[in-house]
Amino acid sequence: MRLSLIGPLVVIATATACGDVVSPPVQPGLSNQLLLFALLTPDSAHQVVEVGSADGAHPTPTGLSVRLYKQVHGAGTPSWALVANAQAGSFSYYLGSVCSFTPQSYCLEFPVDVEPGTTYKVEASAAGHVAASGTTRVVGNFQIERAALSGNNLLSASWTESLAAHRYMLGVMRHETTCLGCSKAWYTELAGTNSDVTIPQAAVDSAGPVPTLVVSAMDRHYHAFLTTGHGGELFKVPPVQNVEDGIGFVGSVQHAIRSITMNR
Amino acid sequence: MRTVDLASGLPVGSVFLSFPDQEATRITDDRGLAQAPEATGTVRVLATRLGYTDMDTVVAVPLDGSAVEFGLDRSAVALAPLTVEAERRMTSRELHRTIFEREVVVGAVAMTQAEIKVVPTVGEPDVFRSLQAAAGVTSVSDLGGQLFVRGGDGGQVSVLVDGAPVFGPYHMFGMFGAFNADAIEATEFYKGSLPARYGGSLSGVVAARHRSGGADQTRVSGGLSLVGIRFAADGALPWGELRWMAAGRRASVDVARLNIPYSFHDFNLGLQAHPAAEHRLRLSVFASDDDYAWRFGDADESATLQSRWKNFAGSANWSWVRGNRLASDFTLYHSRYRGRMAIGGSEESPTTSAISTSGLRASIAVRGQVSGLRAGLSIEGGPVDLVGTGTGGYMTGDASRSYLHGSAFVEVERWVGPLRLAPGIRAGVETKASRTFVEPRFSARFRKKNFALSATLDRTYQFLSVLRDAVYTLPGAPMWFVHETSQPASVADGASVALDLWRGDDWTASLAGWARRFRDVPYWRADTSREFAALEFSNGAARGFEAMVQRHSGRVRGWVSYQWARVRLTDAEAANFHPPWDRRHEVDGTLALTLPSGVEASLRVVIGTGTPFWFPATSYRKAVYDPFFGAALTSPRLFHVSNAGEVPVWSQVQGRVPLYARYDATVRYRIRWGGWEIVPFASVVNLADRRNVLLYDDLGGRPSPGDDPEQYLPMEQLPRIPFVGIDFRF
Repeated sequence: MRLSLIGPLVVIATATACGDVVSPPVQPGLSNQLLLFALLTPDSAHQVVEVGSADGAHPTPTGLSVRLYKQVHGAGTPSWALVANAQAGSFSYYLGSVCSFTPQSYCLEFPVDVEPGTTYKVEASAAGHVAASGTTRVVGNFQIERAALSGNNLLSASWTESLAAHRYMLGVMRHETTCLGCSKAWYTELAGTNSDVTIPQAAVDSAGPVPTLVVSAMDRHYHAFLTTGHGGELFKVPPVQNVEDGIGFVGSVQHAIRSITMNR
Repeated sequence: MRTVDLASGLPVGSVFLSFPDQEATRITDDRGLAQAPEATGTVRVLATRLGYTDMDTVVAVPLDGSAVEFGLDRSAVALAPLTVEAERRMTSRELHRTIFEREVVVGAVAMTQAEIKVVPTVGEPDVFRSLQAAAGVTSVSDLGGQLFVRGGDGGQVSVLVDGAPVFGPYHMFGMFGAFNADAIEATEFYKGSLPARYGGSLSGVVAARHRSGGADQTRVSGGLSLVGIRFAADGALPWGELRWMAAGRRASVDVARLNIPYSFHDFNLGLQAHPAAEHRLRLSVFASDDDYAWRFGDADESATLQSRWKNFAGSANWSWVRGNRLASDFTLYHSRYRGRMAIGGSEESPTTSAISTSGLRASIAVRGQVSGLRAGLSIEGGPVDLVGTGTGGYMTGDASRSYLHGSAFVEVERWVGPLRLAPGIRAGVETKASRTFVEPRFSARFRKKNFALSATLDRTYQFLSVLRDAVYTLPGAPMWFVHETSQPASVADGASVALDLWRGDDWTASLAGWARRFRDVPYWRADTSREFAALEFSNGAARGFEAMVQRHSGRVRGWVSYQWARVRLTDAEAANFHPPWDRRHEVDGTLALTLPSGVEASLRVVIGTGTPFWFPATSYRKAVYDPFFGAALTSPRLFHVSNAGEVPVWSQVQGRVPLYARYDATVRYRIRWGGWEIVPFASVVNLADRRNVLLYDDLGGRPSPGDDPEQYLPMEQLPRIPFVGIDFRF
């Protein structure tokens, strides 16, 4: 090998180093899946579902149809009974509920009650998309029996059991606020129905003079969806989801709220 | 004088001839010829060469000047690769020749410490980055030092140090390997096809060997660079011919232009004793620890990737070489690995991977004139835990179980004229899952003067795998799991053929073609679920062609390789896809130049076609629980989606990133001062500052009809990074 070989190598290096990065063209039909987010709540007369297309290039699905089924146990194997359905055109935008995952999804309100302990299935279909569905067992109503905060920020609380609950999220919040989300949230999660946890001083301060305890009973799908994955600039990780042939979750939640007694 | 193989009659080159009475030495050329020193009457000759029995004889010098011919008898060395070694460091050509003579299997290569150090890399000389430069090996990104070999995944390559497995053998997200180059004597690398004594990995084995220590005085070497500080020392103790080697490295850096506090350290220890002439005892220890937290800009605390992993690998080896025809080898080892990965602000519930495995290998080799046999047994087992629960986990689920694996192998070798046949078989059982394996291996080589044609057919099983997101790779600790009873073991069947050529001691070249078929390799596309239960198994095929030319010595030396490869897998839904290591064309060359002034310069050039990726179809806002959003309690919503970023939805549509090109350069200046050798150096990674694409990110907003469809933002790999440092030796 001679030194003269270095010359061509430098030429190759220079030539290939000049190319700029070109963004790839968007290809149509990137995904034929549906986004489906459904949260069933037993003490609400309205069950809310958000549904949209997972195809970023064509965000508005046509021929959209969403159905809510209830599992019934007859003499044989369990079967699904249709509870409610909605077709394209009957959708309403239900601000302040589940519907905020994507700006261009449909938000649907089913005016039905759901029974605690019963399993429901939400199914969505649209033209050019694979039908997506997910199931959840609705958690039960429950009540907070006791909530007291001692001088060393020890929160003692107990509540009745919520049927079918997988986890309880325990949060301390300001009962009345003019700035939602302005303060850093504090919460913890528990598998049982009582708590003796110490709350950080910052969370106590944020909760104001009349702190309120909120306990959320969640089924395992909603809990997993909220507590896994992360966004960010790089290395974003999707959360755990339970929608078959689609993206999103079908879960259940029930909240209870009570003012915290200050024992200071 | 002329040296020939006693069995085949073929000339034997690189034989070291010593003439003690004349105080002269010679090395035979490829024709087996060497010019003897001036002598009359008789002359004493000592002939040594790895793979052959040493000869100490007295010959009569022919009066007519004709050549004296020696017949050299092959020794057991050929079948006992890790049990007998040269007392001195081998040159590049000697090591290449040694492994070529010893292994018939296609794809067996080796690298000396000197070759490893000549490859420019990120801050430190690196074993794995140097192996990536070999033909048939693909690198996926600047962040990955993993070896993707002949169509296989990086987790399909076993890494051993003195026979003990190392499960997390990388530093700096995987940018380079965990082995201190100063502590490693040589590294053997089996690409794709394995001899029957190796098993458990579908696509290759990296077998690193610690330095054995100095025979006389204590030697110290080390270095200081922007990455960290490292040292190595070796010497001999006065009793029992005990030699020792110790090496360590420590780094604590905040990676330039990124907000990534990172620290790691590693430690190597080697002890070797010869209690008797035929016996050798070795003790080897390797330990490492990596810890980093990657914070993504000014995003909230959930935008953090944290990982830590620790390795410990220790082995004790007893080698007994009896005469020239019998060798036995026993290795007892223990390896521990602890890895964790947390995503988001929480460190409470990361995904953890833990392995604690112990094993014993025993083998015996018998060597005849034209045939040989090597047989052995091994047993290995221990717990392998993979647990992910709750916030911050890479995966969710519990895949913990233990395994107990026993296996036996036989390698046979037979010379038939210029043809060398090497059939072998490996059989094993994994008792916890009641799985049995039978792995036939067959290699053959036809050899003529300056070329050899080799072919290999092989089958390999693997049941200890790495859980890796098939679409979106996170840098950090490997997550190992044992295939559960209900899950199949992965299988690879391969056929390969190679033509090796050489010219003198300087030049070698090889051409190889291979085809492989994979069955039941783990495929975890963690898109709609990050549960371990989402793991599926894919089938597929790969084929390729590779060529490599190397100059081993001289003022200008180095190598250049080219690879064409194609890999396609099919998932459980019968959808075909190309994995991220399906780089179709790749040229990888390293050129080293030594000037008389003491200046050494080296340049590495890597040019490859783009690797596949999946387009993001869309993204949606990540929700987190937040009791403050329930203040009014007018709705069932008690979470917020505003600040936690967006998570992707991957499409089924694949594209390829643009052409990859990177040029790294190093300049060293060697200064000798008394008993010291001091080498200041400067390195530049990505000399041209080329913006190689790591991945494409969805910009987040979903376009309305009529919008500009270009919605993908390229994320770049390593920018130009200069390093300076200093190495020393005394």
